[in-house]
Amino acid sequence: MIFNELRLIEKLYIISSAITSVGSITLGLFVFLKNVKKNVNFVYLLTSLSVFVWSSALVLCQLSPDIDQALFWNRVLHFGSIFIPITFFHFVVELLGIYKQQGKVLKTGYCIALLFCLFLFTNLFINGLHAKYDFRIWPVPGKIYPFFMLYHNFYATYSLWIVFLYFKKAKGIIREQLKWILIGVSIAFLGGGTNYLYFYNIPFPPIGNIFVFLYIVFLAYSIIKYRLMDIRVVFTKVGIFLTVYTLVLGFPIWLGFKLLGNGLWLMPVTFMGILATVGPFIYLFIQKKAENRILQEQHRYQATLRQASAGMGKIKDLKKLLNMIVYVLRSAVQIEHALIYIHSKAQKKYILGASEMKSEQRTQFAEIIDDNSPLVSHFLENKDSIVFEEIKQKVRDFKSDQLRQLEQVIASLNGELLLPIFTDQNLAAIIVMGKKESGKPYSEDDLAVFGILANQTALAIENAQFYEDMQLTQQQLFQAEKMATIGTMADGLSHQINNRFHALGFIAGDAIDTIQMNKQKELTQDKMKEIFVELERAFVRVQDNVVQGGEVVQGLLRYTRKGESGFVPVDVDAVLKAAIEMVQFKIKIHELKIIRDYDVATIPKVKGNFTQLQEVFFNLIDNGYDAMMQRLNEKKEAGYQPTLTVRISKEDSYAQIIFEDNGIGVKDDDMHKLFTPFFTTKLSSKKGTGLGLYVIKKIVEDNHTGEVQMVSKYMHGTQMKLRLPIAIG
Amino acid sequence: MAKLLIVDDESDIREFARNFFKKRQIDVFVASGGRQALEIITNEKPGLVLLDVRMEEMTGIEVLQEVRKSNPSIKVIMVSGVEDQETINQANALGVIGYIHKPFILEELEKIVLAHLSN
Repeated sequence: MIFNELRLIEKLYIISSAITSVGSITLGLFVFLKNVKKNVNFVYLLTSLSVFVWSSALVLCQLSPDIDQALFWNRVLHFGSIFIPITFFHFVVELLGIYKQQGKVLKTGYCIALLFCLFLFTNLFINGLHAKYDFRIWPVPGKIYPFFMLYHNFYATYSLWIVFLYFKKAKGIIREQLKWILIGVSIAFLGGGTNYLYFYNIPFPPIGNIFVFLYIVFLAYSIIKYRLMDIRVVFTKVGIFLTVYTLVLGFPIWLGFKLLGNGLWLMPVTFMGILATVGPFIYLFIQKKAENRILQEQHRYQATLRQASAGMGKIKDLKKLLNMIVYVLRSAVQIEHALIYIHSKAQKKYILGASEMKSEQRTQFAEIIDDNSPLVSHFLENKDSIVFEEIKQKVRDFKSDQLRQLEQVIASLNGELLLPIFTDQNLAAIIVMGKKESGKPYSEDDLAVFGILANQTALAIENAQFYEDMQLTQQQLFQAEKMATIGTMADGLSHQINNRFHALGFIAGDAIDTIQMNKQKELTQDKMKEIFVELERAFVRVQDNVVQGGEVVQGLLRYTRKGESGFVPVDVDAVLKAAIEMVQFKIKIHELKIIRDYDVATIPKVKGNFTQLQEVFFNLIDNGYDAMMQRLNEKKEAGYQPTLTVRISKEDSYAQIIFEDNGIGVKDDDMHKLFTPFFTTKLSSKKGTGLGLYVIKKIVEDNHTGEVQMVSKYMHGTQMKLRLPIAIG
Repeated sequence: MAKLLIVDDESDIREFARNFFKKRQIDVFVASGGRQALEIITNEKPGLVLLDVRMEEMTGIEVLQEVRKSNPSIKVIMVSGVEDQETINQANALGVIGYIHKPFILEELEKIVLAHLSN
């Protein structure tokens, strides 16, 4: 069939179908390749394929030279047409994630589709072709055809209906995505629907078919602007060039078509056009693959090093960090040895922090690089890495003493490549790398990668050192807090000790008095016995007072000690007793009622540090006391009994300890400030350092990996809940 | 017989001070706290009261306040461990004969007690 002899409607029909065909398969492949693993992308491809088959076959059918070929293509066309509604429905199901609800409908649809396929090449489906109104070729419907139309309409309508429902419910970007699908696909199905009018002998030409290709446009729009199917399209310069290039290429072909008609030239030129379009893509693809293959080795260890850089920042322990760096260097780059020297400001030298070497090669490397070593001065001047081979070359060329010294130092370290690690302007560390095991020299690429590594290392080392300092500061803070607390106990302690002396004085005084009164007299046996009994009583009381005094001193000494740094199974009841023992020097403990609501025999042992936990309990009791005294003094309620209840229970692998008081409670406004250092609601600075809750939180959460929770109600009381891990074994 | 009241929460103090003064024919009463002390003052009307400043239930000053309500003239000596200006001022305002600081020995106390009880 010569194209120019066709009617306008037929021409438009064919051209629009061609556009639909190409557009459909292009968009379909694009979507699929964007994410081959996702179902929705794959099903979209299926839909696009169905449309592609339908529209391509349509073109071929209309352009067929004889009736038999036309009939064949028409049947192929219907093959596409059978699968279009069901694949689109499947796409909707995947997109909206409604497989559960629609699974049965979907499976049924596919079964029906397959059923129709069986009849496709029989007369029951398409019973030949004839001319119909404006078209030379039009299919004659077979007996089954109405059922096909029914199925087609049902799934098309049903799919769009579901999309519509979700569109109404949806918000934001999803709403927009669905809107354009709805518009585009509605046009497509309605447009396609106009094809059916001829079957009912309605002389209305199927103009709608011409607009089917629009669904591609709307769908593409939904993808580009609203990220449909989470596809992000980035318009790079390359992308724009290729798009324009493709469109422009079409122009000469169309022109040729117009001028030369439907000739032999069409095939090869179209083929070339496609190749030219696809060409750049193929080139880029091959280039990428080749690059990957050639630079495999490079990429491999560069990737490892990059990963190591990323992981470095997370290691806070300096020793671990240094070990990790040398290990990664040696294994990723495959070198004979890697050393890292770290600067000690105090000692004015660089000390070997970590080293990795082949096991056969247990040579002793220098433990120290001095601050005024030529290596250090070189680095401070040049701030760049040193390649040993280059230095050797320079020595040969320039014959300078300085360089010779430098060469010697590097040789003694057996270094091939040396990296300086700078934090700000300070040379914080030096990395020494030996020869590559492969024997290859260090390339420019290597140096570039190591440069990045050096920066990361600098940051990581700074981080680790800062962390170390912080730990130290925190320890100092804890000690300071404790000392401050002792200050508040000074009053109570000295009163206790003083009383012992006072009592000893009276006891001794009375005994001496008795002796003085009687030593000159003549005494009866009975009187002597009486005196001995009196004196015995006196000395017994002396001893008791000594013991009591001793206990006070011992308690204080135990409290002031930093305690072992290790974490061992701790008896919580013993900690509580020790805390009460100490806190009574600060507060008037008889003013409280302390209830121990737990069974000493069954409470679990906690993994922790006795002294630190004693400090925590001390602070909790003290805080409870203050809250209760505040309530007592401010509110003056009749019959108010300040009560502190301590509950201990087991919750999974944690011990839950609750300190509950019926004090004044905390106002909501103050709650969030409570755990910050130096905040206190206590009235006098003598009473409150403001560090109590902060220290409690640090000790429980950081040191003991536990939890602190506070529940409080104003004028009701406060509950301090601690969770501490139970000691295993 | 002269009557002496010793108010102190330490049992040893009460016991041995009592022993000591009994040997000198002084009737010694002891109280461990404020309430007990007030009872004894009302009932026995001692010639001198040695009052510990720092006690658990009621402080020495609180006891003194109560005492002064019903017995403005009774002689009281405050006994304290720490020299606290505020307490001194309060005591002086309420009226005390004197102040002694712990620790002190019985010999010293003897002199003071005998001096005030003989009047």
